Amino acid sequence: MTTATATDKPAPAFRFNKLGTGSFQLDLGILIFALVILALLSQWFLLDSSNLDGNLTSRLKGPGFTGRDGIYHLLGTDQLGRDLLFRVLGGLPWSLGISGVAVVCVAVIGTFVGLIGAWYTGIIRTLVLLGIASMVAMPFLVLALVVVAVVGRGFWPISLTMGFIAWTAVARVIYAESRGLLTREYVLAARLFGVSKWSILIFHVLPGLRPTILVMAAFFFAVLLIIESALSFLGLGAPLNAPSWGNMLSDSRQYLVNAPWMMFVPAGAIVTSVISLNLIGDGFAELSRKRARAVEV
Amino acid sequence: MTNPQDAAGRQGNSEYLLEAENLKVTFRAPGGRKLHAVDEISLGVRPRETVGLVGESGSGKSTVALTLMRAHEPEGGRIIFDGQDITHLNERELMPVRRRLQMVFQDPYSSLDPRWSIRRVISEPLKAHKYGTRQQINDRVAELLEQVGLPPDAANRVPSQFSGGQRQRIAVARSLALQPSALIADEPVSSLDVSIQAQIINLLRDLQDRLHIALFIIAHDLALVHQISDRIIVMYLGEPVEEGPSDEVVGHPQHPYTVALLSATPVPEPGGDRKRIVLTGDPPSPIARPNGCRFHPRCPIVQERCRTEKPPLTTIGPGRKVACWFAGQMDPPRDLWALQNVPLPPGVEPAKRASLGS
Repeated sequence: MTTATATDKPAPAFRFNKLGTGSFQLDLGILIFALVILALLSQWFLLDSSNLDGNLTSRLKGPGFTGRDGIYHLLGTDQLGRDLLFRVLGGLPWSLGISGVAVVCVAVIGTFVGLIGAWYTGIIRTLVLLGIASMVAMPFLVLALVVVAVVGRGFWPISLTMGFIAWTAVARVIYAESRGLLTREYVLAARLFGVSKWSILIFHVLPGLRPTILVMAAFFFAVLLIIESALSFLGLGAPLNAPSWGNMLSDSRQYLVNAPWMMFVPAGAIVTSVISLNLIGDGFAELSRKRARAVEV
Repeated sequence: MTNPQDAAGRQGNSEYLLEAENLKVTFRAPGGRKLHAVDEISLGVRPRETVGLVGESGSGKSTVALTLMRAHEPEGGRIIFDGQDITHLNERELMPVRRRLQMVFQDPYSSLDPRWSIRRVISEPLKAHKYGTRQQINDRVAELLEQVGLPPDAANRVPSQFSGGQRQRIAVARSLALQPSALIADEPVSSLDVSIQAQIINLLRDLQDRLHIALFIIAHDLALVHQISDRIIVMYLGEPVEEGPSDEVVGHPQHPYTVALLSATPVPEPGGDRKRIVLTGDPPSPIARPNGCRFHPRCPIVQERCRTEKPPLTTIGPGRKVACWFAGQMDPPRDLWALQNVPLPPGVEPAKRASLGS
């Protein structure tokens, strides 16, 4: 019997020694999203409430306009003479915050429900799958309308509503993935060693789900950002005066011809954020594929 | 080395550490039919003894192992571990049993979590049973790695950095972590290279000698099981067809199926190539089993009686049992039959599995 020695192959790991993650999409996505976040942070020292006030003498002015009060409007002004640059910056906490809270809810609820459905068999699994199906059948806009009617428009009502509605797709994907992971022999081995159900789910199954969760979270962040804008556009989202991007788009609708910049500014912000999040999602997917090839064999 | 338990609590034949009595496992097949994976098998493993279970793919060997480990619920029969009936214990009550009864799986590529370090893999059963402090666990891991012949720095690596044989050593180390008194090995070498198989078999033997564990080993290679086992049970289509001391079963096989299994083993000498008994056709499906003797559609010495009456497992000597109406009438290497392709009787479906031999 020869004494076995482990191979000296270096551990397959991400190359963090060079700048970048190994996926160009992820690099680009993170770069753009970092700029968005930087813009979000910049308002703490650039923005105070007076910046968001309007000046009716300089309403509907185009980009690069200097008002009589000597204020320079880089991106122009809206129908109440409010500066669009400050307004789009002020919209960041609303738009990103609402969809950010919602995406955390989506990931947590979806993962939990998916895991429960995958672990149990019989009546509990049937109930979970039925529950998911009935959540899918629920008309989202009607529910949002009810919530707004009861609680009113605001940050928490709308973000939690979105979070508690949109998790079904995540739950289904996690359910399918977990069922696959639960058939692995190391799960059976753990069970037969007497490892508890929750330990198996948290330490064996959840790490295997991490790439899926990351990818889905990135995509859902983008989707929820758009939904939030759509809700605000329809008057079901952020409060009326809040500089949410959907609200800004909603305002711009009446001035499409006279002041098209009013539309382009929030639309550009939405498109940039969504693209960066989609790039991040794609990048995560690419990396996890590469990594799966290195680790699983 | 039986545990000195109170006499009242003990059940079954106290000579055995791990015992199954008339174990029966069925699964539901599509169409509401029953799949008889294991039918009325009884077996016992004494302390320090090695028992081999042999049979071709799909004969229910792994189901026996997993049922003994209480991963499947048996439909009938009892499982007795160290005098305690564990057939209906719940997970919490099973914990002390799980500590003393461990298992090595067939495929070391899927039985180790690819994301876990070897230290974490081996310490998993230790942590599940609250073995001790982190330092004690690390010491134990180092000790186990040494026992299975791996370097101490292996603890910090992940499974993908090891070969199949090394991974199986890791799996063996993990199963020995809690110093079990019985170890079930489900085809521990069949996914490994032939050159590595002997290493793992020797390792298991060596560890058994040193640690005095009872070993229940499952394989489809009769020669390999013969090498390691004290006693052998041959299984066909979920039922035992022959059992006895290892040398007896291999030296004087009584059941035609055992003979066929033996003849499939290559002979390592020039010119020593004997005629093989090649079993034709696939094993019948365990959903629609043949009447009479389960083996009769493929049996080279089948007679009219075999088609209608099922032979019972009869004792023919000390510890020697066989289930065949014409036991001992097929004797290798003198009597060799070239088998014709016997068609399956009507209503009997072939299983979609690779056949033995050829």
